[in-house]
Amino acid sequence: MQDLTRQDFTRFPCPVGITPISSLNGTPQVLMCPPTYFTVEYAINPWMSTDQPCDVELAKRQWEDLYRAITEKAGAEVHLLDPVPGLPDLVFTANAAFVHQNTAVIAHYKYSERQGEEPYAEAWFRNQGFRTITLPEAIYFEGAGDALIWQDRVFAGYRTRTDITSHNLLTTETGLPVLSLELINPKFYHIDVCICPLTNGYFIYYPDAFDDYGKAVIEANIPSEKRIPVTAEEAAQFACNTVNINETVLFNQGSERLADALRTRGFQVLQVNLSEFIKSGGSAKCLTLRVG
Amino acid sequence: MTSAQHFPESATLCLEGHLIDSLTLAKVIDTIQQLGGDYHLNHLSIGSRKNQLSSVILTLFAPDSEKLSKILEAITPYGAKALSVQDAILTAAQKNPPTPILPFSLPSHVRVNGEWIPVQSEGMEFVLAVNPQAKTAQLKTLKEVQPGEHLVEGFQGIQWTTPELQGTPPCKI
Repeated sequence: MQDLTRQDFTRFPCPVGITPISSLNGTPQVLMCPPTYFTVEYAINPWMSTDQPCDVELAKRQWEDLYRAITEKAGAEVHLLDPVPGLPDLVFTANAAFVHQNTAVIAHYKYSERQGEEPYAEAWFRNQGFRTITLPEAIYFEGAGDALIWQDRVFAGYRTRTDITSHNLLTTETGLPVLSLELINPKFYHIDVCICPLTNGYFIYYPDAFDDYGKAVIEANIPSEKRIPVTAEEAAQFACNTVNINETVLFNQGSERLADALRTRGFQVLQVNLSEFIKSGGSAKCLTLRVG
Repeated sequence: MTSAQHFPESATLCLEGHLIDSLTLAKVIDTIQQLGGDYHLNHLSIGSRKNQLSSVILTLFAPDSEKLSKILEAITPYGAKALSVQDAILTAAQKNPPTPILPFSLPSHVRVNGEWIPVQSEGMEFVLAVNPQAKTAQLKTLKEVQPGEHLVEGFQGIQWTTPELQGTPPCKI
């Protein structure tokens, strides 16, 4: 791999001769990264503790269960990002970029522990035919961990990891309107651990991850019959960190009330034990990135 | 009594982003007031579509420099940036003047006897012309600008009240 130096606001055009993933057939396309080098070797969120290391062999089996559920039961095609020694969190591909059609806004991580992932993500997207955009050194943005599309707009989190000024770039580069929501609870440090937009306009969310302004923005944009609030206990089980592929939802074990609520709305619910990844502050959605 | 009389410390700030639908501007204003400051809105441009950004220039007032710093620290995560800490950027006017740097909203039509008449406003955009030697500054229309005059570019170095004028109301646009 050559020339992986990140440049400010660089826009790489689509390479000629490559069919972008976004142009492939209607099969949902997902990016994952095998947990070959996954472990908890530093603590950059309240869930992580180097005193409580994860069982890496169990983590590999859990990741494979999730992979199989996504490919065999949810019907998505999974692309794999090559794992890299020394980058244990590369497995959380949701943070790699914000993807809209053929544009990928590449993450610029707040913590130096994860900044090494940025050039690998940029290279992958560029090699797959995406137009890639990187951010200036002073502006942090953590990909689809902090920006999720619901219908025609983006719900984007800021403060804990992502700077609000990065949201302007999302709009100028994708044309999508953005709703900026401050994340006020350190345990819910990315917006994808406190909201999840679903098929047919449904919207799972944990209200207490937001202040009154954020709750008001959500209530003004999402009709009440589409909102599915979760409890503090469910949120702590990463119920909002859900993978949604068409009518199928996948999330961590537990949260039976939520599972029932989703079944009554017509969803197929799949649950996978992801205990070892939760020790790192991530779950099903964090381990995946929808790229087409 | 005015904000400036109560609050001798001030800073001019700009904000750009999804300020209205996200309630970010409301949050900034509430934070300023909750922390004991006050503000004056100098310039507000609201995106005409949901995918257009809005921008605001406001003057923040605080009773002392410590409070001013606290308020600035509290609203920085919402994207507020201080503007008035550096000199203005001056450019020499050319034969064809640049895009106006202080675009005021002008009416486009006036209704008379049931009919909308278009307003002739070509060349009526305002710019700020400065004479550094004479230490004078004047708002001019583009038509009034002479080649070689120094025009202010952007909002850097512009304040809506000056230290010498503390005690007078902030100017109303």
